[in-house]
Amino acid sequence: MKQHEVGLLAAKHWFNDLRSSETRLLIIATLLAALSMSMISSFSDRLSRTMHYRASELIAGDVTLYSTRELSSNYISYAESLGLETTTALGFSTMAFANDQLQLVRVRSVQANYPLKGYNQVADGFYGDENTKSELLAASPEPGTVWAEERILQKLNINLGDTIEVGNAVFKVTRILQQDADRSGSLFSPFGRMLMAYDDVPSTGVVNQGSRIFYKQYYTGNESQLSNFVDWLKPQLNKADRLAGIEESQNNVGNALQKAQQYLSLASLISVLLAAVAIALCAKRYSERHYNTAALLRCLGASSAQVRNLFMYKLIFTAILGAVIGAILGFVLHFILLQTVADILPKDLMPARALPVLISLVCAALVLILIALAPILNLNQVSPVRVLRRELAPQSVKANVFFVLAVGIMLALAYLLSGSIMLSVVFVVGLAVLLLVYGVLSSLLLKGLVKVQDKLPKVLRVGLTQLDRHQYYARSQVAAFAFIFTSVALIWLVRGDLFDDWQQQVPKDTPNHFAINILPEKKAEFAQALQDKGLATSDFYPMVRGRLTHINAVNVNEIYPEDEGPNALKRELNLTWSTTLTKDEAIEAGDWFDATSVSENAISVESELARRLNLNLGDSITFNIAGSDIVTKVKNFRSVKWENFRPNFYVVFADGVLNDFHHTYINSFYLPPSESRWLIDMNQQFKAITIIEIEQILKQVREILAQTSVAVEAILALVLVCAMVLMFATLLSTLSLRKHEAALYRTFGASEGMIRGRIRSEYITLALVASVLAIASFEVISLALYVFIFDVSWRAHFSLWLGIPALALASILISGFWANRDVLKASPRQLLQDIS
Amino acid sequence: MIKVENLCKSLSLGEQTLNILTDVNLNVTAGETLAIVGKSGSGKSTLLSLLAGLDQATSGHIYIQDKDLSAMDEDGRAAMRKQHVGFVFQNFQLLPHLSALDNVMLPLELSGESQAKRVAIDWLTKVGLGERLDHQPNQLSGGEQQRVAIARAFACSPDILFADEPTGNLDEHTGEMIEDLLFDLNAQLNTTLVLVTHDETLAQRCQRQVHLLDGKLIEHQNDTQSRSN
Ligand SMILES: Nc1ncnc2c1ncn2[C@@H]1O[C@H](COP(=O)(O)OP(=O)(O)O)[C@@H](O)[C@H]1O
Ligand SMILES: [Mg+2]
Repeated sequence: MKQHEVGLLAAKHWFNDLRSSETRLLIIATLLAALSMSMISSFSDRLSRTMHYRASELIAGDVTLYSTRELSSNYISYAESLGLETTTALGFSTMAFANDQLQLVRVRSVQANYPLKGYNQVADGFYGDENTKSELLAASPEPGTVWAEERILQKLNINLGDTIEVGNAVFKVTRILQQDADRSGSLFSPFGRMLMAYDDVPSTGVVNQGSRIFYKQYYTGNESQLSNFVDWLKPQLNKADRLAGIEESQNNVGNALQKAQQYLSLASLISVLLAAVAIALCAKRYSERHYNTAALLRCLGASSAQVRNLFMYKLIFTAILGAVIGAILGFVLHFILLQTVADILPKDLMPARALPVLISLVCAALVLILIALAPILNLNQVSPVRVLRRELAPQSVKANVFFVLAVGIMLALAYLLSGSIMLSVVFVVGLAVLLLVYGVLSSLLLKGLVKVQDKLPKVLRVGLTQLDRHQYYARSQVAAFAFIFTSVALIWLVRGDLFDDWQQQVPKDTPNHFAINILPEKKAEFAQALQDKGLATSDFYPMVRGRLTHINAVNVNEIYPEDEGPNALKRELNLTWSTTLTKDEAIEAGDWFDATSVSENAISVESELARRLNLNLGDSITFNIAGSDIVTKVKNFRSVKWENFRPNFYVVFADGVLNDFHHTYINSFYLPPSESRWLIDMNQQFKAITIIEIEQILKQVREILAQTSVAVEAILALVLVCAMVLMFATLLSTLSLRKHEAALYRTFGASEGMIRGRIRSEYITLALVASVLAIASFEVISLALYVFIFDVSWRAHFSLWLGIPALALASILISGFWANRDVLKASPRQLLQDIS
Repeated sequence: MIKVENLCKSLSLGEQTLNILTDVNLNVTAGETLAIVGKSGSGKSTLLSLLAGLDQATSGHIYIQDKDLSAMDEDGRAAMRKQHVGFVFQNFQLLPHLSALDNVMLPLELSGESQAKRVAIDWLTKVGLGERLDHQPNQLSGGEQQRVAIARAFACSPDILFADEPTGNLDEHTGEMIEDLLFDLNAQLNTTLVLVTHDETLAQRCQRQVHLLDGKLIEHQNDTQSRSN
């Protein structure tokens, strides 16, 4: 018989096999693995490409180089020779003059092709005015014109279309700048920002006057061009230069998205793992059901190579069918997923690609083939004598090689889905070990329970006897169920925590304005103005600027030579004092200030900074404030929620230490957009105070969080479907055994009720034992996840200690009785017929 | 056709050794029909599996058409079976998801027969199942399943047919019909038949009977009609 004839024969047999539940389940499990991968990777491929694009929009290019020294034009010419697109900007602070009033402004002068990526958000009127339309422009001001932030116009009391003097030149203000395409400037600068044409700078004459200048170059291009360029550029940079790619542009939106992406990939990884375990169980059962076929084929004269090839072909057909349907379905579903969240997704989403679908297809097929290979290869070890003596089972093929291979492919998959080596290794190796540990632990647990069964309630006693009788199946069932419930609990938990995290980040009344530079003597008046307007405001936080100079009397320049220390050491810090913690702060170590704190100059340090500076409680830290040194003592470490859109500080002093230094106040408040005209009066009334509007940023954050939440819900549903399939695979794997037993019981005269009772006892016991394992491993894994990956503090989840057993009991009993409905209804004769 | 010399089969079950067959000698000539009779557990199936090359002897030799089975490896014996041997089993051994036709075609396909389908249809018609080609085993009665198995066994025109309790799973009436069919076809094709049974009346239909007792073969020189036929 020739090879292609074996293939044809295999095709014919496989077609007939499609009627059997093992083959169907194998196909469904493969299909789900492919579907999950294809849907999530297509979805997140587009989302992450879009987000990547969006993130590069936030810095107006893919890579930027910022410096306080003049940047060589060689950089530009080399970048362009590599095919990169470039643009150059010059920034400086200067006085703007209009209407007999002066105002300090920050100017960014840009070339005509600025921004390379992203948009300047501009408006044709004041914020909140009825007719004001804002738009996104991938353009920069014409020569002779400037775009200025609203607060500049308000301070100078001018309107759009009026002129403004900068140095020797006069410019017409043609648009209100709401957001500069390059967001890298400090949000909390007291001075408004202005965009100007690059070629207009010389005419102002201000750049020669020794004002502080920064130089910036922007580059875009494809990844290899960029990395070539960065490799070439890096050695030439000095301390004054700061090279930034989009990876470095960390902000709260970026954080939330990153977490959501990690979550999505984690969840799809878990769904693939669930499918893989289902495959493993089905493959084993498939193989056992085909011992006879293999023996008969051998008996009829097929060589062992032919038997192997026949089953290999069938396996490949199964893999292809499941993977192709799954990958295509996943691709279709990703469109539906996108459709349902279309309103909150960026309009200019990157187009779909075939690549993730193809990769998913190949991977799912490989997962099936590698996992099912060992049991299938077992089939050509079947002795032909089995046709005469049914009980002869083949010796197991050494599965280690395939196990390693399967772990390898899962690793590759994990990397593909998460893009993080760390996450992949932790997950795949962790879960592989976990499954083995489950196997061992479940048999120990069952053995232990059998020993003390006299003390257990009757249900468990009957169940245990039943499980003890089929130890192998009992072990694998407990392990599979524990795995299911651990996975579902993990996905559930992480989802909840993400949502909480996001909800807390931007609650409805999140302040959308900051007021800074409030002098102590104006504080009461300003507070009164806010109160008269009926606005909810935060506390007023005092603010003193100071530089951290010594730690335990050692100069920080000696501790961190070569400018290597944390950023906090390189600039002046905003220091404050307080008698209480805010609700988003918590003491991590030490105690909050007490009566003696003032006398010992006690301070509270943000815990992350403390860690980076290697601080201990009781260390002395010296600050230089307005020329004089003040030595302080670290009283406690404090966690801070940086993303809460409220003023936050690295260092808080005990009330009374700093009060005599020059200080101003900062506060935040919520002003409904419709009321924003009022800001013009405020800006006029409080000339020195700077009011910063962050409504646009909040809106953006809310939109992105909403869109990610939907994606997170969708993947949860997918994980649940995979868990159900694994559950059925597990239950089906013992079905023939159960039929056999039921038949025997029935012939001995057992009633249907009695068989039902036995099955119920067995499932209740299974559910409880699996729950115990699931809870234990869930807590261990969540601890590892929180500490090492999501970087969140951990506590035990007592609600799930009840939730998991409840879920386990309900789901196992319901699906168990459903899977066993034939067993319960059938007559003993039917059952015996089914078995043979 | 078949020659057995000093055949022994023993199994080691943990510490103990179980001697199933000891020093069996046997000669079967071409075209002969032979019944191996013995009580349940006497080693009949074991002997059959050795004769058919399904299993390996502990010692001794089996020659099928002068070729030494013990000198062959598993695949060699499989090739020998494909060429020379057909089987009928007590529990039919049909593949559950295949139709009657596909079951009969299976050995033909394995031996590379280009006319597999035509030959299989012919044989199914011969055994009276020409109308049931597309039926699956679970849609057929026991007797019908055994007919399919017989069609499958003869389809490759084997030189030797091995049958292990072919009527063991059937009621008396159906059993007799199957016996008739088996012996009719056997006579038509002049196939060598080795039949294992505990049923003396069935054994009587063979030209020669041998008895297995405590792992030893005892030849019965039959006084009945058989030999002279
Ligand atoms: N693989 C085996 N393992 C254990 N015992 C076996 C094995 N093969 C055969 N036997 C034993 O050898 C004896 C003969 O079996 P068998 O050939 O099936 O007898 P028969 O077909 O005559 O009923 C029986 O006692 C059986 O239990
Ligand atoms: Mg027998």
